[in-house]
Amino acid sequence: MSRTTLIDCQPRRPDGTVETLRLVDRSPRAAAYLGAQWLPHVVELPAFEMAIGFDGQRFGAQPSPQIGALAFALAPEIRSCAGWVWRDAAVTIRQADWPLGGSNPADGAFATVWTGNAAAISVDAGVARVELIDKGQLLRVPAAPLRFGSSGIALLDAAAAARDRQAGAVVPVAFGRVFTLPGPLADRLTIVWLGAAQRAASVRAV
Amino acid sequence: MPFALGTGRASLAALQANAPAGGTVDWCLNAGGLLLARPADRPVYPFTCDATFGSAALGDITAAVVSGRLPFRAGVVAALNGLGLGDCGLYIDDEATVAEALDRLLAGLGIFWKVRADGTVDARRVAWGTPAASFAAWQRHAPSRQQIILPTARRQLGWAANNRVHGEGELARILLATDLAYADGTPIEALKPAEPDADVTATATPSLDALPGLSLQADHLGVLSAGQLPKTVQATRRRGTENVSATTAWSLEVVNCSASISAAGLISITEVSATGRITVISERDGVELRGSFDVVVQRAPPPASGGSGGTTASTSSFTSPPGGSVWTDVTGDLTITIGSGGQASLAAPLEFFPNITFPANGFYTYPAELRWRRETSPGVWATVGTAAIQTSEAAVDMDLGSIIASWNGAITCNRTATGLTAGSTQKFRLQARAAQSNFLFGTASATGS
Repeated sequence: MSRTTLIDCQPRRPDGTVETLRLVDRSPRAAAYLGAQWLPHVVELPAFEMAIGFDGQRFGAQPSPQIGALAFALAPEIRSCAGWVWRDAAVTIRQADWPLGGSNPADGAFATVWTGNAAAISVDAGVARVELIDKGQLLRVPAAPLRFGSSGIALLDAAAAARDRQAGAVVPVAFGRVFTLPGPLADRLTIVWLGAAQRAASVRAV
Repeated sequence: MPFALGTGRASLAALQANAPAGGTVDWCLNAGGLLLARPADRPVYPFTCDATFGSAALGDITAAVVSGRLPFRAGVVAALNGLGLGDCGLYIDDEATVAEALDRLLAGLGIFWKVRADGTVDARRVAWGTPAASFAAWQRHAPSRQQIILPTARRQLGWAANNRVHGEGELARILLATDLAYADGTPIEALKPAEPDADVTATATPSLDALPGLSLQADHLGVLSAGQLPKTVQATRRRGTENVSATTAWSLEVVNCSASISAAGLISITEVSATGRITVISERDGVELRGSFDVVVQRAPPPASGGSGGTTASTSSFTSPPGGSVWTDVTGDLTITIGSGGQASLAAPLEFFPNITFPANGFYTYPAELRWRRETSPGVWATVGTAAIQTSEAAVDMDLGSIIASWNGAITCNRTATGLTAGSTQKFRLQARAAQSNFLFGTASATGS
């Protein structure tokens, strides 16, 4: 059974305007879906891979992100998109099976099968290849985002100013039940120590 | 040394405005999102605390780490909370990403996580069900085990001592062997070479106090006098000069007597058949010490004369019987006059020892037999009563070609000849036989009465 794939990409023009590029693969008839016209220039649909991390002893460590590549022909009407900014462009892929009788799938039949972002675009022989990556990138940001000196918290920034060595250091965060937290000195004058940049439920021993 | 918890404050300003009581720590659980603490005095060593931040359940912590970045698939947080794990904790003071923080939490539990196509975060546990295939029989080319991968059902926090590593500045001083000396200045190095368990002062030298001999009184028949038994002898084991008898394992080897020893080393002698020997074996600290003493039965001499006109004859000189089953006279004639009672008391409480060349190494015992004979008519001898066998066998312990220990055998043949004519003269002889030739010791006597 064949199925129709709709790919919705939202790159930005250099001036920051977000454009929506709609591509369709295997449409039985004129590709009018979801109230818009979709362009049939897809050369190759992305195939996604994901590995479950395995460090030799344990499963689950650092799953590698799902990545895939979408290839589409740079037809004249969309040729300019090769010059747009694709990094972090939102991409949504929808699919629907062909109904019996050769008509187009109904709009309501489409289900979102993947959402993610574009990472980069490359052009070769009139074919644009867009690297797609899952939203796990959103998790590849520091878990402890604050740093002494730039935290915006007066106490911590003042402490950093008083002690050069502390400026720029990560402000620790803690979750759950933790032991032997080595707190840095936050206020030298009144000897106030920082446990963690987190609200605590209880303190057992100090 | 922990500080005592002082007063919980509502804010940083309250914490700064109030000095804690001596030896205590004031704290503020939520000073604009910070956990703060204020000790009464500036700590000498790094200042640490144990605390709980929000829920300590795995799923709640996972949700808190990811919070605001991506949603979790419905039900995942509750499923992680429902794994039945103990309290969890996560502390981040480095540049770890949220993804790495998830790995720290989940990887050791056999849980992997991923971002789903719909942009939600999913976490599943790797589980093994019933094997799909099994081996019917081991085969020659059976697969071999290369590595065992252990699924971690539970991560134990604090499995090792959670000690803080001291910095260089906290070490008072590093001592070398050459820095150590006794108060009089003798360096430790001068005591080399050291011998483990050396006992220079002999405070641990084991010893067994000398045991006194025991002498018991008996009549000429060898029957112990009244009040001679039981007797007690105290054995004493020492460690250095300390009496350690109560904590020593005691045992006995006895010859010709019955005795027991208490846990404290008190020997109780309840029965003595003849002159014998008691060897005390004490064991403590893996060292066995033996001591022994003789139990001597001192017999009174035979009475000079019997009663009612009877006379007595005795001898302490015996010929050695040759080995074999033939009875042999070992005394000459003991001629006595029978008294008015018409009987003769014949006594032969003797000891014996084999008169042979001893065989090869081993432990050997030797029996013997005695009987009294009376001349019923000239040249005709009859046995009085029955023969007697030894009460204890002679014994020899041979090792390395020589006698290590030997014990005399004991044999007593006391008989009474009755129905004799008063005033008549009777002749008696003692006879012996044994598998081997014997030396006989003691006194045999015949008394008319």
